[in-house]
Amino acid sequence: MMEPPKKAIGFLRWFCREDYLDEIEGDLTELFLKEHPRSARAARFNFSWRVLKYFRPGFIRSFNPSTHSTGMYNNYFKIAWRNLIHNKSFSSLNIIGLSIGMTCCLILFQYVAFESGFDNFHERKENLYRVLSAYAQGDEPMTLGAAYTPQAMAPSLKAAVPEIVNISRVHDENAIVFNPNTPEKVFEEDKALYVDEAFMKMFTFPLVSGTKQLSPGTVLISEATAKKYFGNAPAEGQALEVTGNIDKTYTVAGVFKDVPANSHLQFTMLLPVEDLVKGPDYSTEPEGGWSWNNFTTYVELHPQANREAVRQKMTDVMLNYRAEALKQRGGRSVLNLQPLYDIHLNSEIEAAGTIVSGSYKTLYFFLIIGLITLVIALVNYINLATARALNRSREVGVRKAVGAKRQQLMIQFLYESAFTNISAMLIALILTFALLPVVNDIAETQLNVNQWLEPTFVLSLVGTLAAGTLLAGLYPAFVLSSFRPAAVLKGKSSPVSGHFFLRKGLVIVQFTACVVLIAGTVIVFDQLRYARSLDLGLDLKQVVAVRAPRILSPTANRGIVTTTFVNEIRKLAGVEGAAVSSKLPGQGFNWNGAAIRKTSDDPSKAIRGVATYIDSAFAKLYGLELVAGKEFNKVTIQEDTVDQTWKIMVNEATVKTLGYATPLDIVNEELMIGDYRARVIGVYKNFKWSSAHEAQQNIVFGRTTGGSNISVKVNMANFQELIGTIESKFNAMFPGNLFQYSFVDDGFALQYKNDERFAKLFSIFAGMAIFIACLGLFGLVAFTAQQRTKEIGMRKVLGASVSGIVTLLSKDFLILVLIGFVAAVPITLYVMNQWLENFADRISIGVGVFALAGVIALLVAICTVSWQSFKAAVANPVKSLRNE
Amino acid sequence: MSGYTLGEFEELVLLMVAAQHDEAYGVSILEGLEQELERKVNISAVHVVLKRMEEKGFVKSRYGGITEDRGGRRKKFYVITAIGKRMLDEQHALRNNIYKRIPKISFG
Repeated sequence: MMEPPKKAIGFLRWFCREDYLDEIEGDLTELFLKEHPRSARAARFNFSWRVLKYFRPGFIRSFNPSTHSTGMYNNYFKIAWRNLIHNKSFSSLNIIGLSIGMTCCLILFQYVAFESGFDNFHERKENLYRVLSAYAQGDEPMTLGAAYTPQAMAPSLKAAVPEIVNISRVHDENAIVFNPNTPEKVFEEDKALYVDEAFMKMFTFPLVSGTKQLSPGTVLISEATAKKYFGNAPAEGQALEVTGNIDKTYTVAGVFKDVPANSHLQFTMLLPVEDLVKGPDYSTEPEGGWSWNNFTTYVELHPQANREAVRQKMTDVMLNYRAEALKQRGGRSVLNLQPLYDIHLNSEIEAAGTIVSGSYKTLYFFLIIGLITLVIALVNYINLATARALNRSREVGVRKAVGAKRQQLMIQFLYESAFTNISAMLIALILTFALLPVVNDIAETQLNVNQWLEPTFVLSLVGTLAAGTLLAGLYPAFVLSSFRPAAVLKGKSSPVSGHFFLRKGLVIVQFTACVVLIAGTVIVFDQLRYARSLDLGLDLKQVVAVRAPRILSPTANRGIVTTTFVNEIRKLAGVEGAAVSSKLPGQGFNWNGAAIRKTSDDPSKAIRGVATYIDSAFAKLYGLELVAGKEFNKVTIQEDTVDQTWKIMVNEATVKTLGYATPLDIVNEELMIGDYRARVIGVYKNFKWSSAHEAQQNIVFGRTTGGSNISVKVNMANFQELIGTIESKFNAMFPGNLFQYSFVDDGFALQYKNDERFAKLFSIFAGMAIFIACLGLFGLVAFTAQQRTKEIGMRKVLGASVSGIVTLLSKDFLILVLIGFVAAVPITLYVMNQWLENFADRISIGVGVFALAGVIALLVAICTVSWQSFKAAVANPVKSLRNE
Repeated sequence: MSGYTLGEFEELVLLMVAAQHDEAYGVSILEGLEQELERKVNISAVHVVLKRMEEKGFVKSRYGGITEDRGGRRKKFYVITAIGKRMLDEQHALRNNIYKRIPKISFG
């Protein structure tokens, strides 16, 4: 075959300038023929390669389409533009509706893109996992587990599982930190992490200066933190005093870039975990460091590792150490690996505090709401376009008579829809840009314009445009291009009427969506109000929580000094009571998933409970009601260690779940709490320690005198003065500590922060959707009124009243809204019951919600419809009947 | 002297066009250059230079007849113009003048 490669020649002929082609193709062919005898392959390759070299400006022909088709498109554009200008009111209805719908969509897309892009920046993200430890008591089904693991796990796994390339423990800590040169400026770093050295190898947190090596005695800090302590001076080699759990002087080894907002791990400081585990607390940990699940463990697997096999091996290693202890407790345990990308959005998995968590459910919810708003806006376009079809029918008739094919007409109408969509998109982009700060404020996100460049966002933008153009344009294009020229030019047929049902159907869909959104908003707010007003059985009002001192002199006994301080505070005027506890209501417990059973029962019969520690004054301060037994005694020694004579209080739920008939029966009974023997001395009436999301738990209170929270019931009359006095007493007794206080009820309400955010966003988007739907309705009514001007004029001449005509025009539409309302009821029930399942204490969806939503939707619709109807009804019939 | 000076490769191509008087076209120029320079030359580079020099008026072109060994494509022959010749002369004279000023040194 003595012929040059066909593809290359084809390509050359396609792009090359006509006047150069003879020379270039000729020369290349001649060279090819000369080279061919030596090596056919080389010749073919050389030919193609040379062709490629001509693909540059001087040789490429101009690609302007022929003048003929440009003229066509110019005409389409012109007609589209004229139509837009001619019907200013309808076009602006369309564009405003679409741009608002698109704005909602864009904001939500961006939010979704941001949320789903979490932790994407880690180079080794494919191989990174978080270890989940799952535990099941007795016959309970095994869950995926929680991200709480003990300190001894990581070293044991690393030693025994070869597929693990790197492993790191992470423990978050509030550290009190100061620069020894400026000891008066003390900061609390609540985002300090104790990590293994491998941490910085596994995760991609770029350095600004220094080294990633985190050896004992060194610390890595973020750029912002470096600035905070050292100003503009270089931070490396400088010293930082860190107190809190471990008191030590650290040398700054390196400075890393501030952790990006889309990282689930948020920290300002990395400290070596060795210092923590060798410190006073963890060096005394029982069971060889397998007892306290205070660490999160991250692993990096070998790229070729089989995840399931590794998981099995890890579980085996864990069981090597734990089988005996598990047997005694009557439980089973496995380890699971959670991929990095799943961590942020999987809200089912419990994890430690500094982790930023989102939720798949919320994300899908918002995505759907965004799409609904967009669809409502698109429906407006379809409705108005088909309604106005009559006005365009002559144009279509003339075009067809002159020879336009149906396809060409469809393209023309799609062109118009694209035109409207693109204009709306431009406005939507500007609106989105303007609204981002507002959204960030409400949703507490960090969205910015830079994210617009990300492929997911660009893709969704283009997708929205394409879908908008096609969805809104196809049907009208189909309808408009179907007119038969002879009929429409005679002016006989009225092609609109046939599509009246479709429009009615679409209006129903719009209002169904609106009622669902209104009812949803009402339900969300109702549930939140219900959750907040729930009778907790605890009185949180006027209670200030003061954080117990972090740093004590080595000789001080925490229980004694805390008691002394609390006694001092009790003496102050305006203080109605003071108590000590390890946790506060709304803060969870110290011991989650404690196995509780009667001493005589088999371990497999144990129930799950939670435990925390309080002092003798706690119950009275918070208004806990004793139903049997007696309260804790006042003691002055520290007694939060559990031993043979551990005395506990329980709630009624525990009594019932353990199978005791009455609270009196459990008093003085001995129970096993985990591995510890305990005697019940009293029973409290059931109370809500956590938010409405949490079902009633089996709660156990142990006694402490040295917990980390001091609750003070205060008289609000002289609050500022009082808190000042408490602060000065605190500073006098505990030098070097930060005085921090907060209101317990505020803290408790924080549990609903996510729900409140959800409610706010939900209501905003619902409002938008309703607004757009009303725009559409407004347009339709206006159009109908315009069509029926003559009819209305006649009716008025013949004696119809204004109210009669308003009813005539409005009735049809209001019926549609009513049908939409009926259709919305089952949908709302289904969707909102799904959402309500997040709550253990929840409202049931009543008739009132729908009554309210229906009335709102109807009122809004009536206002929209009657304005136009009224305008048509009061118009002077002389004007409408004058010509003809 | 005109404001435009020839680049090295341009000068070589122009020389070759002049040397192969009335018989110069893409492939012949390419082969002539490769023979003289004893290295590979890009055909596209030759074409680019030819186009540029035609634009400047240093060469002019005409089409030849259709021959089979070029896939039915015509040859495009290039001839040097008067301006092109003067350009070469100037360039040559300039070199000669300077060359003559080199003292007689033996590098024996």
